[in-house]
Amino acid sequence: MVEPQRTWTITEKSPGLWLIQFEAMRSPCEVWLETDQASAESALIWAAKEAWRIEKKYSRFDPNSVLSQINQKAGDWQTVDEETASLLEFADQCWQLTDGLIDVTIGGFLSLWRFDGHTPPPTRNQLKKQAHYVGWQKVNLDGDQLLLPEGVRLDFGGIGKEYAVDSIALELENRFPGTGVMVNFGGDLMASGGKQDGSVWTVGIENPNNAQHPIEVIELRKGAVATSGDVKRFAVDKHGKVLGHILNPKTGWPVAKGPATVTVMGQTASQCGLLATLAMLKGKHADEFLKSQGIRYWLQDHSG
Amino acid sequence: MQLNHKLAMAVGSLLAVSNAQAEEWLLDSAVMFYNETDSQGQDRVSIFEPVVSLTQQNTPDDYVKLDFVYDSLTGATPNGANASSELSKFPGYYVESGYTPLDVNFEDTRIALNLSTMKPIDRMSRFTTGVSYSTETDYESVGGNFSYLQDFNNKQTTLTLGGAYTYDAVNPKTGFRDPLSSITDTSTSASGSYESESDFFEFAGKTKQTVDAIIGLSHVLNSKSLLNLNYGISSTTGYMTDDYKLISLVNQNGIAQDYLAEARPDSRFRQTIKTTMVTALGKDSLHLDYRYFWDDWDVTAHTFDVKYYLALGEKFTIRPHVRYSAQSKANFYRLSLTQGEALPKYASADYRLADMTTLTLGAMASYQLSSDLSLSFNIEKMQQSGDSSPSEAIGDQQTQDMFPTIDIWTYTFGFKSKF
Amino acid sequence: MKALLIMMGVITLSACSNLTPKEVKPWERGTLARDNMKLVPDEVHTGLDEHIYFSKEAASGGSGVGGGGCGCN
Repeated sequence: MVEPQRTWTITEKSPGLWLIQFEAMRSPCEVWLETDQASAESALIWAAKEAWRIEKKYSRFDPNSVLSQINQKAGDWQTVDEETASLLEFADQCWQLTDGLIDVTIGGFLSLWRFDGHTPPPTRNQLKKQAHYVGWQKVNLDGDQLLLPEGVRLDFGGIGKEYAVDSIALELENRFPGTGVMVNFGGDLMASGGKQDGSVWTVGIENPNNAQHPIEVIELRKGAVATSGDVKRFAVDKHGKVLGHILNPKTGWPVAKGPATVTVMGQTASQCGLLATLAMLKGKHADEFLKSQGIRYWLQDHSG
Repeated sequence: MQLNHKLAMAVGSLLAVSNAQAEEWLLDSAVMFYNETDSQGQDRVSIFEPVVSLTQQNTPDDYVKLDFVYDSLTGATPNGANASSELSKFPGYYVESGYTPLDVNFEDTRIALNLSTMKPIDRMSRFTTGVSYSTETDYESVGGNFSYLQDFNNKQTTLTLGGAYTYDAVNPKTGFRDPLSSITDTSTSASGSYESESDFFEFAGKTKQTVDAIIGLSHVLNSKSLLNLNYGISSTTGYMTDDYKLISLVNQNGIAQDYLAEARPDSRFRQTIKTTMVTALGKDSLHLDYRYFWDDWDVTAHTFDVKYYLALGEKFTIRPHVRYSAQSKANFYRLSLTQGEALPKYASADYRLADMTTLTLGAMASYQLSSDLSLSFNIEKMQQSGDSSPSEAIGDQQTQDMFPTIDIWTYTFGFKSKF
Repeated sequence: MKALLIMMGVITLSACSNLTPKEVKPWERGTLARDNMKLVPDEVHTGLDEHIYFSKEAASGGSGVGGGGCGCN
């Protein structure tokens, strides 16, 4: 595993409006902070380091990550740290609320897939075998005590990045009350704390089929936006049919007939990301589902 | 509820606990100057009182705190007797006609220590526990307390259950007097003759024990306000008489013929209901308190307290404060006793047990020097007034001010820092 | 990479939109977490005040357990 590059760029875009740019979680990341305080720079560097910390802690590729160590201890009761415990408790609530559609044990299925556009999908038999190791109902969680059945692998891919966005945005808001904060990790973003002059953040929602022309430009004062779906990550089945990369945790197979991307606007990136993923999992019922949630959203179908 | 909202709640609890703070030390200290005068122009008590509170905090739910209070009191305090048109003679001092008699030899120092801690039990519950000790030349107190706090409803609601036990001993410099005995009677009872004699304290004294219990509910009403409700009981048994207080024994003309030691019941059961509402108004905040108090001495009190935190910029805060409290008298409160009447079992002329209102006006200014240093100055004026011409006053008493208004000024300098 | 959103900086003035939350989530307690929103924001000052009220009035209590006795009342 190659360590991601740990570099950042800080720019003062206009007097008192600071921007840091860096790479984390396989995404270009930006944090905007509007403040006159001299501590802006160190706070932005803190934000980048916090993103890298969360990335490293919950990476499923790094064998030394906290997540990998937890997975290695499957079969025994183990004590997890407080942050992990709260993420697991959150995962538990998500699983219950979504009737199992959001499931952090999906790592078992994910390991069988390569969404590189050419590796063939796993066989039915492989998936059937692997199904023994997927399903949150098999996990025991009691406070900070965790028992993963042998072979079960956790994966925080569905919640980790949004958690990083939200917690960094809220911490910056705490440190700089009343100022403008915008955290944007590869399109999952949260604006927290209105800007001092009353102006708003402007966010363009990119058309996946035409990068030059955003679908819509929205104004955001306080809130979040997150997107699920990806036109660049996919698998192809034996008939040459394109399969998306959002797996149904009950089958281990990508959802059919879903939209290409779903973008949701709400209060936190975590909430938006979950709703967007759920919409993807609803396949052709995505629009119907989103409509019932009373939120603003944007759907993009596959081109052609 | 929509799935959207349920997910939002789940996200809420995730992010609320992820902001763990690092260990830090907090120093909160102040020094108060207290000055009391009355409407007859008499200077009463002056107090010099520094306090220091040191907290070692890991998170707001996980800390250890030590409070230290030093309290030095000098001056004159009412001895309970009525003003008279004649010269009044007390052991060791005289009081001119027309003045409420004050015991001028009042002097005491108190040192109090309080050690308390809060620890989380799990993500939704925690407990606090503490011990306290205080000592004065004529008084000593030890106590312990425990409370349990449980969050509900995604941490929007918190239930508090608490209890405390306090054990106090008193040994007045003047010795103990028999209840309602004449101060000219020299046969004062021996120290420690009371049935529950203290063996904990260094000095032999009379003791009392207090058990407190409280149930509290705090609830977040919306993003800008929260409400807190407390119901508390407090039961004291033991010696509550104040041996420094007298009561005038007057003739039919209202002229004191003698002064008797006061006598209070040896049990008291107090109850309180207190409701607090805190509301944000922009960057300001408004605190409204109402407390209703009642006890089996028939004292009832309504207390209103309003504080407004006015934020002037990022660093400067002004906090005006108004407090109003109206109490009804204890059932054994007497302005005086009259010769010829059968002595009641209990009687006290302590004005603090009379019908009385207290009005407090104050203003505090605080300035944040840096992110971990702030200074504050608080000035308060408290005024206590009662019935200067009560209906029970007779003869000479009707020509005198039976309740001179008391004015108290306090000046407090505060210093707060983090390190 | 996911579909990209482009940050376009900071331009227009606008009033708070329909994003105002209807119910409070714990993480939105930014306001409630402020010092001046604590039940007792200045503990030392309030403690001194309470001690005076305790020693000068017949009524006391209501705020919790703790503290200790005093010969002043």
